[in-house]
Order: sequence, then structure tokens, then C-alpha cells
Amino acid sequence: MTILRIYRSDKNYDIHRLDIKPETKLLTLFEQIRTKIDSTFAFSSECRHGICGSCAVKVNGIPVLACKTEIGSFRSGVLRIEPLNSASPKIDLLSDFEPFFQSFSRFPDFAEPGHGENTRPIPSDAVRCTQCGICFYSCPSIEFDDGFAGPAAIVKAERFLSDPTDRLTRSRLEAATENVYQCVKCFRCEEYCPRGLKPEHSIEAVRRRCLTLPEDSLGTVHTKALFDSIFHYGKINEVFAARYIFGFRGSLPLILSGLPFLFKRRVRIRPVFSKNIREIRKLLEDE
Amino acid sequence: MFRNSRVTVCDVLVIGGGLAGLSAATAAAEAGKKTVVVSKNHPLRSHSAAAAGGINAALTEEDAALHIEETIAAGCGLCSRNAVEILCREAVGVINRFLKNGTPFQWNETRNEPEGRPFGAMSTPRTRFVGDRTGAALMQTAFEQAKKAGVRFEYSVFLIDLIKHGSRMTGVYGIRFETGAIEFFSAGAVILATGGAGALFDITSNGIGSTGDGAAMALRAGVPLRDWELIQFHPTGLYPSGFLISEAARGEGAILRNKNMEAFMGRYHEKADLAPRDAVTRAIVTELKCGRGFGKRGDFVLLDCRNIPPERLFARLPELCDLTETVLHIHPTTHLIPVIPTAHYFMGGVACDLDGRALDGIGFPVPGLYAAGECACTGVHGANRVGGNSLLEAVVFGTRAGQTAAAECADLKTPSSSPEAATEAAASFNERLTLFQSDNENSRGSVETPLDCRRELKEIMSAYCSTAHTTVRHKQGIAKLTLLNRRFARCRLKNGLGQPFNTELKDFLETENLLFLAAALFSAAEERSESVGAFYREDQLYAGAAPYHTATEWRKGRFLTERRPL
Repeated sequence: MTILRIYRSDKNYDIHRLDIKPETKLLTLFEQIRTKIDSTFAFSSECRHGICGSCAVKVNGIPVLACKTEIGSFRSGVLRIEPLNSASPKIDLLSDFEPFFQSFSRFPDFAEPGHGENTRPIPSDAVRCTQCGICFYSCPSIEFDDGFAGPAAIVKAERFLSDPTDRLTRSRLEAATENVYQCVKCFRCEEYCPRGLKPEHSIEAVRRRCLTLPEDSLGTVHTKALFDSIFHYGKINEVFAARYIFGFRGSLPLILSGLPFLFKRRVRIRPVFSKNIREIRKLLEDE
Repeated sequence: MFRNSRVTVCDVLVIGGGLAGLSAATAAAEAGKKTVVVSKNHPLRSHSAAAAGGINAALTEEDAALHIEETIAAGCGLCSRNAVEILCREAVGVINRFLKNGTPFQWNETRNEPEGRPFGAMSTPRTRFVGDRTGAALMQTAFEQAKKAGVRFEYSVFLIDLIKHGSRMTGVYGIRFETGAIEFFSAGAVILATGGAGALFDITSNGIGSTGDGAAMALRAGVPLRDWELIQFHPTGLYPSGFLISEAARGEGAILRNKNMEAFMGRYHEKADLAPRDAVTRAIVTELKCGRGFGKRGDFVLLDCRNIPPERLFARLPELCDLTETVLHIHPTTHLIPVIPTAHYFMGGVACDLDGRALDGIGFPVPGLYAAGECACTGVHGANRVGGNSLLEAVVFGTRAGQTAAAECADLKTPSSSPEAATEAAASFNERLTLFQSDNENSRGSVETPLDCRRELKEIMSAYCSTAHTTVRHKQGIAKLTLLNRRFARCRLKNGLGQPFNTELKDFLETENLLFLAAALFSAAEERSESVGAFYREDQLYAGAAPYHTATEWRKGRFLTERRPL
């Protein structure tokens, strides 16, 4: 006996108690519910075998593709099924994918090759992405920071960036300085990606490419600030880094928002040096 | 009542966001026309993305000549030579364009050109590919290019019917899923690119959205379908669901085996496992009929991929490994894959000329209507499509249709669309819909749901109109279909227009289209009296008649199929 709690509109959940074989796919189950129990139950699906990426849902908080997931793959006998972006669902299990599709436009979303050059393509894993939105809607940075482009868009941008004949590299990188640094390295995108792609790898690669930009661009300054901070103190000093990046005036609002942390003694004004500062510096110099 | 409905006015309106639709839209937008793509799903969710094996392209002139001959030979005499020549000669340009725009085709280092893989019915390896995800890779590039060209996308709009003004098609109307409201699209030229109707069948490689809405719309607007009965059954669909196992598997060296582990294809065709698809499908059907199938019911054969080196398999067919692992929990390097023929591609569709203009019953262009891709019948596939030609056709003829539509689209400063005609059509649709909502006399007793009817329709089509045709089976099928239509009339909808996210209504309309197309299919299949290509008649009376096309038309409430000379 499996108990399903399926999200319906207005924060209601439908509860179904069903005897299902553990190898039944979630999508088959949804189809059965629509045919036999409630014909107004809405979910999206298209190819039914993991190629189109339409049927992503959250089961007990974990994002999965419904067509590739078996009921038996969850330990719990109670499955809470919600739409992918549970923050602002459209209805039932339908998610609003518009923000996700828009995220690709943060970068120039097309190739702009130079003329008369070698057309040999760069092999890329990015082409395996089905744009199912799982990485985007499981990303904590997206939830709190509008600035972040999201893993899928960066994977795609990296694909174009790795093309040596690309003529838009500059504007792609400039877009990247605004849209890439918000990643907090939680690796959820890699954990949940149904295609086994490595978005974190791409994010790191794009960040590295950003260093090729002129000295005064945000990405370079950001990296430099953190590097210098570690070089001087042996750890990241927020006050130092903020002043370095934004200047004294620019960092004033940041200091205000940092005040609560100051009271909780999470941030210190007086710099604290790491004990093994010499070794750290040596390591950095070797780099 | 539809005075306040949203009206979108544009120069070129493309219906369907698959590869053909995107190619057409890009071409039209690049010609400087205001172009809108309207589709029921987001374009990236289109079924073109499921095309796996590759796209055929002969890179040299001699190979192109060979490609033309092989395509025509596989088409069993129903191909149009002019169309095939255009298709094969424009292939190089297509590949170069996609390469330039960043599609990462597998590269052959020694020859410094895209790698080719052998495919069915071909003598040289000319199928260019991106792993076994070629369709998706092409779709991504095509979508990027369409966005770059300034195409506007209106998705999750379910279209109901074309709007006619005089003889000219001036637009469409449909329901926006989010609001449930009727919307009008008015355009100087309408391009149909809605794909096939694989959802008619129980075992199909097509997605659940391939319901042939465009073909049904065209039929209702009085445009005939050509060769609608010619349906390709792909030999290797995963048992039992029919998910596509790409022909690329056999191209890389996989072999079909029967119950006695015999590689049986050698007995049927000189090219063995790389024979044309119709030959392989028929061979499998024959093997199953002779009791040489696997399983308790002996209803599948096995595909043996074990002779492909594992590294090559992972590198070139990753999707295949992924599919068998998730669906059947087996791995192709160690296990044999159970396969059955699966409904795959509609060779027929809206008849068009070489520039994508839709043709009416007597072969004249329908003003304002164009078609491209699977829903069109340009004559390149004849009676049997060669694997890898469909992606090529979508791009080549999609682009041509887009260019023609852009050149010929009516100037919208002179109002070509009459709002009255549109609102009248929508009003009559609404009226019809209310019939299905009200609790009148007929609804007593058992109430049907559209999805139940659809499931039954799939069973009927699979049993009476699939890989082997006989007149008796057609008659039985038509009788069952008539009963099913009666049951469908008892469907009752909980909500009508104006209800947001009305999935029930969408199911209902799709099923209605499918039932309509099924009747057209029976009508066309009855008319074709002998086997040709993918169409196989068991009760063939005589052979050797000059090849002909069938033209199925919806006239005065019934389907009429006539033979047309080539």
C-alpha cells in the first residue's frame, strides 16, 4: 500500500491510497489517476522516456523526472508529490517554466562564429541537457538571488565559450560576471541532474574564464579580493573583501547589513590572522 | 462574445514548434517578416527532440547522386524525383549551417568532416549525428537561431481550427491553456508544421502530444491529405511500450535475432539488418507470425548489441543504454534488447509543392496555407522513408516553406482577415462544446472520459489498421470506430471555455482530432488495394498497377478518397 499526497491548487493535497507495484513509473501512475480518478488532474509529459524533460516533479522534496522514477525507489511508503517550483506553482503538478527558459537569455543564447575559420565543432556534454529545469528549481541561490543565471544556462554558456571561433566571448563573459558568482557550491544541481551532467564544473570553468577580462571587471576584482584576503590573513575577511570590491562608499550599505553578524560575532572588524599564515602564503606563491 | 479576445496579428504564422516549424520561422523572420510560432508545448518539448539516429547528408556530389537514387529506390515508386533532388542536394548546406551555428556533430579527424554512420537502405555511411541525440541537438540550435532571428513564441496554446476568408487561410483560433480563453491569430500566411499522428497507435515511438492536430485542421478546412495510409512502422521499438531504439544501433552493428537465436534478416534482404525499414518491419512481423518470437506470447524479437565494443556503445549510443537501463533494467552490453515494430512516421500528409505551398484537391495551391515536416507530404519519402531523411526534410522543406511564405504573405495593411468569420467560427465551436457540458438526455448511463476513448481507439487502430491490412479488417475496424464515435459523443466535460488549465478539454480536443484522423486513415487504407512500401496488404488481389497517390478529403460530412496519378 502506497499513500500518495499529490499537490493540487491552493495548497491542498489529494490523498490516494493505492496498491501499486513498486516498479510502476510515477508517470504511469499520474496517467492512471487522470484516466480513472480525476480527469481534471493536470501534469505535463510528452515523450514518456526521459528525452523531452517535461515531467519533472518533486517527490518528498527531491526533484525527479516522473517518467524515469519508480515508486519503489523511495524508502518511504508515503510520497508527497509537488510541482517542481513549489514556491509559485501554476496548478496541480504544472510548474511555471517561464523564469527557467528566460534564464538562458542572461547570456547571448546563440553561437556567433567568426567567418572563414575552421568549423570543427567542440564536443560538449551540454548537448545532453534536456532543459528539464530540475537544477534551476533545486538551486538555493535561485530562490534567494535573482542575479544568478542558474546551472543550466551556465552549462550552455560554457559550451559557446569553449568555442575558439566565438565572436561574442567578451559579452558572454561580461554577462557572466553578473550572473555566475552567486553559486554557493552546494552541488545540488549535480546531485539531481537526471542526465548526470556536471554544472558545477561548468560554473567553475566560466569563473576561470572571467579572469581573462580586464582588471577592473567585477569578476576579476572579486577573485582578486578573495585571493588577497587569503594571502594577507590566511582566511576570507569579509570587511576587507567588501572594501576591496566596492570601495569604501560602495561597501557602506553592505556594512549596515553586516551589522547583525557583527553583534553575533560572526564577522570581526579586527582582522584575525590564520595560525599557519606562512604556509598558506607559500602555497599561494607556488601557484 | 469574443469581442475582447486577444488577437495576435503577424505576417507569417507557424503552427508547431518542432524542427520544421522552427526552420520555417527562422527563414521567414530572416526575410524580415513578423513571425510568430504558436504551439501547444514549449518548442524545446517538441517531438523532433526524440529523433535519435542522425540526419542524412551527402557531402560530395557523387554521394548526393547516390543518395537520390537510394531514396527513390526505398520509396517504392511514390517519390517525387524533383523533391528528392532538392532534399539531397541541399543537405550539405544544411549541415554546414548547423555546424556554423554550433551543433557539435561527431567529427571524423582523418577526413576533417562530420562523421557518417551507416543507416538502413544506404550504401555509404552518410548519416551525420550527435551521439544518439541528434534531433535534440538540432532542435537546440534551431531554437537559438529562431530566437536570434526575432521570432516570437506563443506556447501552450491549443489550436482548434483554421480561419478561412473566401478561399484564403487568414489565421487560426485556439485556446490558451493558462486562461482557458479563446485567442485569435491573424496572419498573411499560415505554415502548418504540426508533425504526425503517432498517438493513434497503441505501440508508438511518438510522444503523447503527436496527435496530428494540424492534419485534422487542414482536413476540416477542406484541404485533402495525400497518402495518409502510408505509415512507417519502425522495426525496433522497445518492448512493450514502443519507445524508439534508434536505427543507429543496427548501423553500428547490432543484429536482430529470433527465438532460435538466428540472425534472420539475412534470409529476407541482401542488406540484412540494414535493409529499408519496411523490409525489416515486415520480416519481424513474419517471424512473429511463424511462431519464432520470444516471450510467453511470442510477440517480440531481440536486438543483439553485444558485438558492438562497449566503449563505442557508450560513446555513440548513450541514450540507448540509458533507455534500456531505466525502462527494463538491462544493459545492452550484456543483455539482448526485446524489440517490436512501433508506429513511427506518417509519410503522407498535407500535399505540398516544392516550395511548401499546400495543394488542394485538384493540385492548385491553397492561398495562404503552407506545410512542412511530418504533417506535409512533399513526396520525398514515397511509400517508405529512409532513416535519417526526416530531420533533413524538416530543415530543407521547412526553410523553403518559410521563405515562400515570407515572399508571398498577404499584406496585412489591407485587412485580409475578417473578424466576423473568426468570431463566428469560435462561437459555433463554443456552442458545440456546451453540448458536451450540459446534462442532456444522452448523458444518462455510463459517462465516457476522453482518455478512455483514446485508449480504445489505440487498440482498434493497432488491431485493424497497422502493419498488415485486409479489407475485412478495415470493415471491422470501421464498425468499431463508429461505435467508439458514438461513445465519444457521450463524453461529458466538467468545465468548458474560460476554465484555466483545463486538461480535460485538451484531452477531449486531441481525442476528437485523433478519431477524425482515424476515420480518414481507414478511408485511405481501403482505397489502396495493393502493397506498396510500408503499406502491406495481405489480401492483395492484383499487383502491378501504375503507382498512384490517394487523396482523402472531408466533404459533406464524410471522407472521400480518390486515386490521383503521380
